[in-house]
Amino acid sequence: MNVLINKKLDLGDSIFGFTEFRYFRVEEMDDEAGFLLLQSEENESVGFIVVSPFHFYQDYEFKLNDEVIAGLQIEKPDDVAVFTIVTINQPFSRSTINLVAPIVINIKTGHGRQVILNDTSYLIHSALFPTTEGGI
Amino acid sequence: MLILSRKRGQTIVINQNIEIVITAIEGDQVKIGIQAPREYSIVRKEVMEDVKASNRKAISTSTSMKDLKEWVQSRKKTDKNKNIIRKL
Repeated sequence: MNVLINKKLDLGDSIFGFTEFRYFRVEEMDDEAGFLLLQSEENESVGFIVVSPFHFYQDYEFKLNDEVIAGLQIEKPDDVAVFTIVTINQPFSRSTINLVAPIVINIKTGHGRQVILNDTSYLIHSALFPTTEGGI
Repeated sequence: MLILSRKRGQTIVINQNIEIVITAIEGDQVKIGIQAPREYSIVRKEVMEDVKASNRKAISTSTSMKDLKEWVQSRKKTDKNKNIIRKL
């Protein structure tokens, strides 16, 4: 994840509902829990708070389909970083992450895309803190 | 919109490189097989709409950024307290 901080990412037209925004940069917000800001380079008012899903769901897994592997020119698992978009709710402990549509990035090229997982049991609004109140 | 009638097992071809086959019909549900070049992403429309709505809701605002920063601060304080308790 750290290798992506301040790097320019090309997400093509893959962010659902925001296909007009292509270039993003990653800003660090919190070094411990790993909250990052995925900020549009084209419109300062478009940004998403993202995290590594594995930080909150250690067992999270999905299979990348051939289409994504080919499209992002992924050669090996180490080339890949995964973010999920966080929806901040009130109170903060009720915030959610989207485990259905992770953002997959080739860290070598900076190309990435938001992918929808078909036939997954994960939820679009999965609890950010599934077991604890606010993680405290 | 073009509408074609098909029976189970019959296929529609789009552009000579996409094939859509009706594999099963059970009551009001049909199972559809799709063969397309791998650069085509295929998703259920309602899932895509839900993801769009979720993305729109997730757009960071000054309020959400403030909430996050406050949580980070409060957690750091809690961690510090835990450390103090450990030392005691």
